[in-house]
Amino acid sequence: MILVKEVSKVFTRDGKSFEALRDVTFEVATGRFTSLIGPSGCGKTTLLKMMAGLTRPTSGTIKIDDKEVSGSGPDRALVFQNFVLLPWADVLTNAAFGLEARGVPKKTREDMARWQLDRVGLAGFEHHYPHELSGGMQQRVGIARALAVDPDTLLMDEPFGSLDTITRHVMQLDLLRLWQETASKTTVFVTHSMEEAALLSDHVIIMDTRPGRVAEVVEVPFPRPRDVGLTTSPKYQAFTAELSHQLEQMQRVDMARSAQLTEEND
Amino acid sequence: MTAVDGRGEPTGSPRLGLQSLLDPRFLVGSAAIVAGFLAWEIYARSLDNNIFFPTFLSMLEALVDLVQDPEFWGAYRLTLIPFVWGLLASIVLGVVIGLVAGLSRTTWKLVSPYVAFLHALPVSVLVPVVVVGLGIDLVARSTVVFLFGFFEVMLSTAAGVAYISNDIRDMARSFGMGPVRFFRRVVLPGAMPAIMAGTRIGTGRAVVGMVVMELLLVSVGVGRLVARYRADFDSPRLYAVVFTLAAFGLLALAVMRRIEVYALRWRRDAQGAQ
Repeated sequence: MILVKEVSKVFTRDGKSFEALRDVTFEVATGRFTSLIGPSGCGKTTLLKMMAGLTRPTSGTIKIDDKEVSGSGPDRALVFQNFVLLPWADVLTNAAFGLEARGVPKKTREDMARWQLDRVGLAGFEHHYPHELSGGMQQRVGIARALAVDPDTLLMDEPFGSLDTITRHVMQLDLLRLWQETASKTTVFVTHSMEEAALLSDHVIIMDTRPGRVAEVVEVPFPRPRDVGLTTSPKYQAFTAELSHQLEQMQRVDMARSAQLTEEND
Repeated sequence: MTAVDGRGEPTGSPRLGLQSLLDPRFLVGSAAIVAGFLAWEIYARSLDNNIFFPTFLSMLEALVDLVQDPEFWGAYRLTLIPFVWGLLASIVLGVVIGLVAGLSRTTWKLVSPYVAFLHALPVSVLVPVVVVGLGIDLVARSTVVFLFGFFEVMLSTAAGVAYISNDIRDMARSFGMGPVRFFRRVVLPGAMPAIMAGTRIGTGRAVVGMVVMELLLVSVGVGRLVARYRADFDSPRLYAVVFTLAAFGLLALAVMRRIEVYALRWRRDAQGAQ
C-alpha cells in the first residue's frame, strides 16, 4: 500500500516560491491500478516523482508498505512520458537497462528483457535502435524496461501522452491486457484523459490546481477483466462524461481565478 | 501490433568504388578540382617567367622528385613526431579534464575562467611564450600543438557531458544506477558525439599549430624545407611542399572522420551522410 500523507511541495526559483502541492493525502491499495488525473499544473507528475524517490516533499511523508520513501528503490519502476530511451543503445540493451543498473549479469538481464519485449509485442526488434521505432513502439520498450525489473509498484507518468489517438488507444488496450495478466502490480498512472483513466483504473484520484490538491477520489465501478467492449457500453460513456464534465468545470474555475489574480496584480 | 519499421536506407559516406565513380556528386567534385588545376596551368604558362609562380605540371614534377628524396621524409618525421605527441596529449587531457569539468560543477567553476581566457586568445600568441619558456625541443613543439588542439577537445567534451538530458539522469537514478556504471554506460556514450566532434576540430587545429610552429618560428622539419626552397626561388618545390601539407591536413581529418563514424555507428541511419 502506498500512503501519501499531508504532502506539500513548494518550489523556489529566482527567489519566488510556488506552491505545487498542499496537504495531499490519499492511499493506493496494493495490487490496484490508481490514476491521478487533473488539469495541467495540479502537481500530479511531481507527486509521482516523489513516489519514485526522485524529489522529496517539502513536508509530509510518503510510505510504501510502511517504509518511508527516501530515494529510488528496486521495489519501484518508472515509465516516462517521453520514453527516455538511450539513443545509442539498441532495444534489447534499453529494455535490460534497469537490470543492468542493478548489476544483474548480462545473460540473465537479456533473457528477462527478451521475455518482456516479447510480452509488449516487440519480439524481433531487439537489435533496432530507438530512432528506428515509432513513438508507440518506443514506449513499449519503456514499459518492457520497467517490467523487466519486476517491481512491486509501477509508476507511469502520462505514458501515452505524446502518442497519436489511434496508437494511444491500441497502447491502452495492450496495457490493460498486460496488467490484467500480470499478477496485478500496484500501479499509479498519471494521465490527462478521463477515458484512459476509466478504462484502466480501479480508482481515480481527481486533483485540482493552485495549489495542487486532491479534489475527489472516485471508485471505477466496472468489473475486471475488462476489454475493448467496455469502451462502447453506455455505463462507461456516462461515467467518463460525468467525470470529464467535472474536470472541465475545474479548468474553467482555474481560468477564472487566474484571470482574477492577473487583474488584482494590475 | 501496429508495428511499423521506420528504418531508413543507410546513407553512409560514398566509398571509392565503381558505383561511386559514377555518382554525380563525385563527378562534379572531381571536375571542379580538374578545372582548378587546368586554370592554374594556363595562368602560369601565360606569365613571363615562373620564378614566383610555378606551373601545375612543374609542381607535380617537383612533387614526384620530393617523395623519392629521403631528406623530404626525414623532414616530415621531424615535424610529425611533435604533432603526434601534441595531438595525443590534447585528446587525452582534453577528454579527461572535459569529463571531470562536465561532471562536477566545482571543477568547472575552477577551470572555466582560465579556459575562457585561453580560448579567447589566438593560440599563435602563445607560441613565442612557449619558445621562451621551453625552447625549441621536442617538448616545446609538442606543447604548441597541444595548446592548439586542447581547448576544442576539452570544451566540447565538457559541454557533451553537461548536455546529457535531465530525463536520462532521472531515469538512471530511478533504477538505482550507481555512479561508476552511470559514468561508463550513460556519461561516456552520451558525451561521445561531442567528444568526437571536439577531437575532429581539435585535430584540424593541431595541424594548424604544427604548421604555424614550423613556418613562423622553429623551422626544423618541413618548415626548414619551405624556408630553403623559398630562399632558392625554387617555386615548384616550394609549392610541392605546401601541397603535401594540405594533403596531410586532409588525410588527418579523413582519419578522424572515419574514427568518428565508427564510434557513432549507432546513429548512422538517423543522421544520414555525415
